[in-house]
Amino acid sequence: MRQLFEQEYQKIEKSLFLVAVGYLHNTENAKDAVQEAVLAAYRNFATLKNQAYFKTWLTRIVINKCKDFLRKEKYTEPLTDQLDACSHVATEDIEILDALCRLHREVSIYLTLRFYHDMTYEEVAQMLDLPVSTVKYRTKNAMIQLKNYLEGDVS
Amino acid sequence: MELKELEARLAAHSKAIKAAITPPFSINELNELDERIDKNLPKEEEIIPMTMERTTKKPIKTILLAAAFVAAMSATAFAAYQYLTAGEVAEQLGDKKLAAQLAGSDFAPQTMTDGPYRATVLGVVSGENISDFQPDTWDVAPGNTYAVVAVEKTDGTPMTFDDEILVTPLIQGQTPWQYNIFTMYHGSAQMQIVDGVLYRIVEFDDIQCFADRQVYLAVLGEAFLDNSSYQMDEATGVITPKADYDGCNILFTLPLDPKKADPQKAEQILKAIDAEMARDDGDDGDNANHGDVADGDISFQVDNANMEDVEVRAGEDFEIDKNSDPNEGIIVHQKEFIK
Repeated sequence: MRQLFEQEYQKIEKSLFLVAVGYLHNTENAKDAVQEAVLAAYRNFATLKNQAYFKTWLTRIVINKCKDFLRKEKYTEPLTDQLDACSHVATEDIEILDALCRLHREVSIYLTLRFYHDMTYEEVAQMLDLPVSTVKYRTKNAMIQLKNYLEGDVS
Repeated sequence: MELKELEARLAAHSKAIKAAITPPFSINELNELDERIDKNLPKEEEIIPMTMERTTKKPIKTILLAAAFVAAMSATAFAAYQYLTAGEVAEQLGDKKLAAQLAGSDFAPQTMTDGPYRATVLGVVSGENISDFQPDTWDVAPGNTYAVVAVEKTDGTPMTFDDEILVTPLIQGQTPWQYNIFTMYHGSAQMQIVDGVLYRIVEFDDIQCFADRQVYLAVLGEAFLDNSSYQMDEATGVITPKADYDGCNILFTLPLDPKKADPQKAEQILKAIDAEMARDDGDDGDNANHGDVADGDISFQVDNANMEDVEVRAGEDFEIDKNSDPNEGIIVHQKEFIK
């Protein structure tokens, strides 16, 4: 069971972390949130009836953990400094991630789930309990907001 | 920068950043958990904790065991002892303001069972600014209604996040699959599992303005609501669960104060929902696939609708693509952008 869990988790470990960073705007909290989510999920892995839902299931748990963190933690350090400390990320990619994190988290979630987590509109709709058409509309709207940040139209 | 260009840029960025970063931690840190299982140590009591704080409160299980030895009582009263109260649910989620509102409410819990699930409405409150949480960034409702629902399995096994449960208001006279928490202009839900019971706090637009008609709270055993679970009498607008639905399709009646009814506001809300549904975007940004459409135009796809309904809602500013297949989504173009 552990081997299967590890196998499934390792396919999405980086994208889960990025989704958490996009939500929490903080790499340390994102790491803690994902770690706690993974532990909680592992405890209950036997109850997951259909392995095909693993990604959606674990992502939901991660987002719930992120919401728990938001209730008690504050964003303390610029995201760009945190990224420099833990990776070799190109400047342009840091700029895009930083701009993403400037969006309201309920807006950026549509972009992080679609682009980092490679979810289809249908999977995002299932994750967020929304109609597919609403997800598509909001994703487009989120992209327009991100474009404005990247083009310097919004401070 | 066009949106298509941004989409390509984001796709490239995603690949690059995932290649550049290292995983946040090693999965070998799960060793600690395996040891605990091997030594038959008890699991931590919460599956997904509602808060990260450790408290000295008596564990929930102890309270439940104590309740089990209480003398026989009605099914409804027993349900109230089995679960957290509505106020406790909000408290656990960190919403002290809402917790106080719910604790002060005289709403009597109601329980219904259908198929694999038993649902209990623990509390309902309405008002302005009665929650600590920020409103949804997409819109700000002037007043909100919150319903707290507990759901458990009738076979006694614990609820998991794999159990799809939808809690939504429905309105007399409005087709259920068209007017529900998904299509209402503003709505959100939070959920947690404690001791095998799923708790949901559902927030939606102030529906008190609909108090001159029946307002329901539906609890459905699946994530999406279509026309297979509930039906509406075309003459009276009364909504009932479909008897042939295979699964849980419970319907509670929400008691609202008739004095708060506001037919004019209700009509505005319904019109806003119609406009939002007509405006929803359905394509993947590749407008060239939908006939002669100018770059940057706004085309939308309306799912789960028939051509006639979309024509009524679209109005004069939109043109319907009559060749689109309703089963795959009806394509709607904004007229000013069509070549």
